[in-house]
Amino acid sequence: MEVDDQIRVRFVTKTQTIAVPDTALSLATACGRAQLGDVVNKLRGGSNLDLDFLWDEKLVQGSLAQHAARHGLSTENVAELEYFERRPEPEHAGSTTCGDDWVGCLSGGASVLAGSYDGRLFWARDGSVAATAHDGAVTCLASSSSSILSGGKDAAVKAWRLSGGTIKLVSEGEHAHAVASCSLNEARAFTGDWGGLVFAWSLPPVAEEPATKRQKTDAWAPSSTTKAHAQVVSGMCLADQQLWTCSWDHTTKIWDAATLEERFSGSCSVALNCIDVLNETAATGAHDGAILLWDARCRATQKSLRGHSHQSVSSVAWLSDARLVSAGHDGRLCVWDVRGAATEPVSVLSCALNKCLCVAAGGGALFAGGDAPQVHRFSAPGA
Amino acid sequence: MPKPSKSKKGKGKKPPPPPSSSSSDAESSDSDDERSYEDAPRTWGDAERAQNSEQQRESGALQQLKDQALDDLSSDDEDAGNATGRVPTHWYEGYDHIGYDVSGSKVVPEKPLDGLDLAIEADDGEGVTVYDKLNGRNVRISKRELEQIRRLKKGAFANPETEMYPDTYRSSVIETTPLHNAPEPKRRFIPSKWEGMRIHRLAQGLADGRLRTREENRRLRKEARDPERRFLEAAASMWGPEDVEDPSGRRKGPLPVPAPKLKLPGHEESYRPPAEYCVDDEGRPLTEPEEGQDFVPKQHDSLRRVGVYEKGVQERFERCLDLYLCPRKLKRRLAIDPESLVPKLPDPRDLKPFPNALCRSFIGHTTAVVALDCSRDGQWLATADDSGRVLLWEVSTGKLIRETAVPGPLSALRWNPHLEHHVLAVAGKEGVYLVDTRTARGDDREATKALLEGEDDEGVIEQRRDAEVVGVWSTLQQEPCTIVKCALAAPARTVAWHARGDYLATVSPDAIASMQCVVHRCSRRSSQAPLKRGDKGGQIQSCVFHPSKPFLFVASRTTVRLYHLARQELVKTLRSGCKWISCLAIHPGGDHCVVGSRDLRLCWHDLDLGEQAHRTLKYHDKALRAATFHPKSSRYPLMATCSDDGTVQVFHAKVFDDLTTNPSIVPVKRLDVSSPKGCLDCAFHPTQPWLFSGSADGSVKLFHAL
Repeated sequence: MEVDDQIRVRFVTKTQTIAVPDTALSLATACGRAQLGDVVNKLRGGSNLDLDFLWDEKLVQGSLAQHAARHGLSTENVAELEYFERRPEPEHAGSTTCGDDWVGCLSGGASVLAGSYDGRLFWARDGSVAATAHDGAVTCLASSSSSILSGGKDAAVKAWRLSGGTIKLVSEGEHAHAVASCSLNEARAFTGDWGGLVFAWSLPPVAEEPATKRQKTDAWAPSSTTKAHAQVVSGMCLADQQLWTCSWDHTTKIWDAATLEERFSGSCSVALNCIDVLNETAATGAHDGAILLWDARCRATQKSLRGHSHQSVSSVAWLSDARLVSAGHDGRLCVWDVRGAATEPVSVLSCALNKCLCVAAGGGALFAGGDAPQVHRFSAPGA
Repeated sequence: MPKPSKSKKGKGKKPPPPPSSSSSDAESSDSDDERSYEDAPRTWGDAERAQNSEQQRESGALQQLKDQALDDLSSDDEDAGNATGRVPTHWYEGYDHIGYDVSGSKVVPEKPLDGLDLAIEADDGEGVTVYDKLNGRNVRISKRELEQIRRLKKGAFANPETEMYPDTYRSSVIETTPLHNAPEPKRRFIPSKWEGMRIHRLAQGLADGRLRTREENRRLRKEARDPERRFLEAAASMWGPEDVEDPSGRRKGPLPVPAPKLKLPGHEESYRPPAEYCVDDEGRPLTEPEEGQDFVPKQHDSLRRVGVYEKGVQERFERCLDLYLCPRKLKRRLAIDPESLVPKLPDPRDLKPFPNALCRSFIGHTTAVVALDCSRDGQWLATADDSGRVLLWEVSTGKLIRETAVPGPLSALRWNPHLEHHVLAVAGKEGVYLVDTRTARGDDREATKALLEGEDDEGVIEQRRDAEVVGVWSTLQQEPCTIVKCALAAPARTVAWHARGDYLATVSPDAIASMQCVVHRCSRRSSQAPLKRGDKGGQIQSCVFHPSKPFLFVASRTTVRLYHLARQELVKTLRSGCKWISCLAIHPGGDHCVVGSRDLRLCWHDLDLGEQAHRTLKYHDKALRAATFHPKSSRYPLMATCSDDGTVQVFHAKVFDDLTTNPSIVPVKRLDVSSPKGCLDCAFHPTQPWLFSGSADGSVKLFHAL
């Protein structure tokens, strides 16, 4: 790179507290994120901030010249660089032991539960047993503000009520096949099983004094059922009255949460393992190590992120509107910025696991479990 | 008046070529630079002559000429001037005379006419003057004499007036009543075939370069005389290639055989070889001498110090022997591009997806994994090792879920193909076991339980040596999982389910002939041996049910027989040519089957085509152990074979619906299981393009498609 290659840039930001005058400056194209940050910090004159830059809505990784070459941008016009404060990278903050079997699933939200392969539920913060939920492995967990839903290899679906520091079983239903995925909101719960069926359940209203004896004897029947996929419904996520499901039959579908009618079906070329949705953008983890991003509005795959060295991606979770974390069978947790490069994670977290099976974000922390009886905790402000 | 024949002899003129062949005409190289009779003006045309003789006849001059012609016959050769006889004329060169006449006086030659005189002579048009070298005279040849010479050369009568057929009526007047009324023959109106052929031959010769026109001949002769060109040609032939093809493409005689080439001398044969070719002080060569080198390189200061080469004569002699005694065989090399012999196969990249990369390993076995199978929903994997452990794994994570102990070394394991029956059939030393996998959920629990329920047979097989008792059924255990045992007379080696999941066929090669193949009905706990006489092709090795029809494939050591189970008859015999069949697999469509053998071969049989194999593939270095098709063959047309050489070969095996198209079998991937002891079993995932392999070192691996 020649030193005298110059580009005129203008710094803009959406955060008014760190704004700088928007005069165009001439900088060397060899400047990277650190040099640009220095320039902005000098212009601001305050404390040094760690900044990230967006050029044409894409994260600047590497130098400006590399960015321009990668995205086909011209270095002759004035480049408008939007900057914002960089979120700190998640850092390992300890682990808790949960029983003596693998941790297969984690529920997000404020109080994180871990589902173990021995069928018990653990509190991820301290590793204490929350409940003995299933006969066989717990395969999926989902949480709302007051409820927890769990599904297991024994085909049972259990709804739990969060009260104080304990959970209480409120309803128990059953599938004809092992349950593979679940999702819920305050009123409804959805579960998908290995036969490709999606069951919709209505959660009982929050009663002041639930008569546990009576409710246990009552059979909890699904409110509606549909054959959603040809193969296992491996992941589902409920967002804004839309239910997203993904399956090993290489499709992702959107269902109307109220009627269970199909709204959209998109296909790719690999089996999909997991899905998480934020702001109408779904991230699905595929069996070949790719993370496919789907946009509900344009109804197509937007991008595929490849960082798990062709090992299955077992779980994905959004951290903020542009950042997501993925867990793979290569034992790594990758943090991605979807505005950045498709093959370059923003950061890679290692957690001494051979296989990472689940990852969940909640309460300003990131939790991950895998083929060891530990749940690893990472500090993730803003998650 | 001198005779023209004489003059001709005196001129020493070469006789012109016979006018019969025009090809020789074209080749003939007439020298035009000499004056000849040929070139004398020919004014005596045929028509003119006829007209002339007519005039002479009318005027009476003809009669006079006839008398004259008679007079011509009187010989006057005797009064020829020079009488030297056969003495060559050049003996008289340098003298003023050229011989002697009969009287003995010298014959002094006249001076030949010079160019100007000749030009004047030629101008008068009445004849030519030629010089008679023998007699040293200028002879005037009149126009008439020229004509006579020309006629003599043609072999005609010398005098133009001579009528060959005096009685023939000739007239130029066309009579109103012609002498004959024959129609004009056809040949007058069509081009002559023979002339056409001749013209064609000439044109062909000119085109090929066989014939040349006179002008071209002249040009070539002129060029050949050019000394510079001759030098260049000689130089070119000296340095050019030895076996230059004849440019016309026609070679006469046998092909020239090049002499065997001498090895060119190298550095070590130089009179002053570089130091590294020489020997050191102890007489050891510094570099390895070339093969066949029988001399010690020696350095000489200058060429004149080089002594006589002792072996020179001997080597020359041997070379001569080589040249004329050694048989020279003409070796024809085939100029075929080896790539063109390889059959055109599609690029494997176009045939994706197929398993091509290791996805995960299932760690838990310590002894050889002899068999594995995946559950119908693709959720579980069951593996069996030869110590009697049956392990159940979760496919998506590779986690070991459960371990079940089954007595005895095991040899085969198959998951029940029915979706509701969560039962494994395991072939062991004492018989076949049905193992509840405890993966049934919901209503499947009842279906599985119903399949495994039943009453135990009384007694054991040793006590009932009765030939009709084939298998003794008993429930081995109920907790934690139900295991039902069907004891057989000999160790079961393979096991195969019928598609409906109730019937089960086992093969015990070591049993007596009638008991080698046994078909069980699980729900009734009954066993029967359908083949009363065994198989003529040797021990039965394997058997498989047809996926949709009531057929049973039974593979013996050399043949595969197809039996109709309802009609109890032999339908078809497949002869693959293998010496020892080891495995058998049926395409899910039911019209094709593959047979793997211990002699490395994999034979693809089309059941609609005859008994011979449609294709024989050889992709393994050691005996084949198992062959399998992907259950979803319409979406993933895949086939895999595993072998003792530790590899799994994946094929793209597409079968077409129309009967005229042959199935396309393309080897797409060779998966290295990296087990030195070999791969013992492989199985496809039922819904994904994934492949499981189990090896003799206890490793179980899953390969997925990238």
